[in-house]
Amino acid sequence: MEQGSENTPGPERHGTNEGSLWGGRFAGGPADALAALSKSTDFDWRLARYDIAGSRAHARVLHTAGLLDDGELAGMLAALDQLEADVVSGAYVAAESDEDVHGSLERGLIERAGPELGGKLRAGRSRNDQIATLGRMFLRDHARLIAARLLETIDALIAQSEAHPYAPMPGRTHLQHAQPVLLSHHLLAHAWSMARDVQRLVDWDARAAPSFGSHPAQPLALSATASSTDRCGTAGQAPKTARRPPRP
Amino acid sequence: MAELVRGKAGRLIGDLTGLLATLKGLPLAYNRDLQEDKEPVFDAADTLELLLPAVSGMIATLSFNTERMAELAPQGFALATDIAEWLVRQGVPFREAHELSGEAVKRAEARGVELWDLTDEDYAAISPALTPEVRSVLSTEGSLASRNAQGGTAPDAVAAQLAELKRQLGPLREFAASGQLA
Repeated sequence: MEQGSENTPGPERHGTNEGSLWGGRFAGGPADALAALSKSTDFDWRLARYDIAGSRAHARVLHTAGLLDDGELAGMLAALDQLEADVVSGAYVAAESDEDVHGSLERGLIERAGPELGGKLRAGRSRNDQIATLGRMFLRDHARLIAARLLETIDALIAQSEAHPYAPMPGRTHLQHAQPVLLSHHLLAHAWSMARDVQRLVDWDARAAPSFGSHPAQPLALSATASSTDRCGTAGQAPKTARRPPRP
Repeated sequence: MAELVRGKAGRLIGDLTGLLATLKGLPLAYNRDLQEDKEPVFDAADTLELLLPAVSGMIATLSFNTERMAELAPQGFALATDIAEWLVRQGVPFREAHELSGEAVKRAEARGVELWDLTDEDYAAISPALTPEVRSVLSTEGSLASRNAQGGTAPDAVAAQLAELKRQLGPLREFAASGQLA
């Protein structure tokens, strides 16, 4: 089903088939119902900037592997920059015929870089790699956003604790009044549980960071690629430079 | 506001269980089932990013009726465990101390009074170990001050855990502030 990993195109060249990467296999095109079921641009478009970031990193990997020369790399990166600007401004949007964000953005790249250069980016990667990378990038970004919102909540609890340094209240267990406790003691119990949540995000982030083991369990469609590429290079060049902070 | 946030828990649990059901039983390699992994993940992130600012705002603007809370704090025999723990500090085995404290509660309850309303004679009648000194813990302040172990509710212990919490938040703030792509 995947064609992204193919790097020996047949005699009859075909493009992205309007962003539907596997469509080239079918003579007549899929039935409308199947196309509607397959379509994911309605919800995966929000990953577009991550897809372009991954494409930049992959272009550098192809360059390192000798599959793109210096001029081709520069042209590819310029086209990707233009594509990103057009996505951000809304000048470029998914077409009705685009199946998913990856296929659509390849179409957009080919429109900007031309079929000769734009068509080279697909070597040595597939949508499996793309989506696994994009999902990680999205989650690593949002882990930080959610951590920041949790820290604001913790800070609100701390501020209330400090505003009430000595406020006794009934402490309850077993649905009844058990012992007096300080209000600050009660509030900080919630702050600690949220702090542990943030610590879990930090621990998870270290696991999701680029490394050999963090690659998709099934590289490309099934068994990696014949193109000699440094697949960790893609992950390593993804613009996520944050390192796991030291634990206390 | 708190109810709206509590209601979102059902939505988040739905996102998780839906995703787990999609993943269940998938064979190795590429499966198009995974088209379904996007929306629950997006929704969970969006939901948290929507509700957490409301929660922090709610907490920041809470006002507490501290007078009423302090009034209720020692009531309802809430100091019974303080009697038992005070006896233990006097050398009484905990098993026995627990019984004696229960006896004091029984007497107070039968008369419709609180523990501090029992007389020195009442306590002496329960056990000679219950000297008038027990009154040192029969107050909110005495009860709180006595719980000064790590994680305790004594003012000093709470101040210490607050300092430790702030220390642990340092690297977490660093994480939250680290690079964003989009």
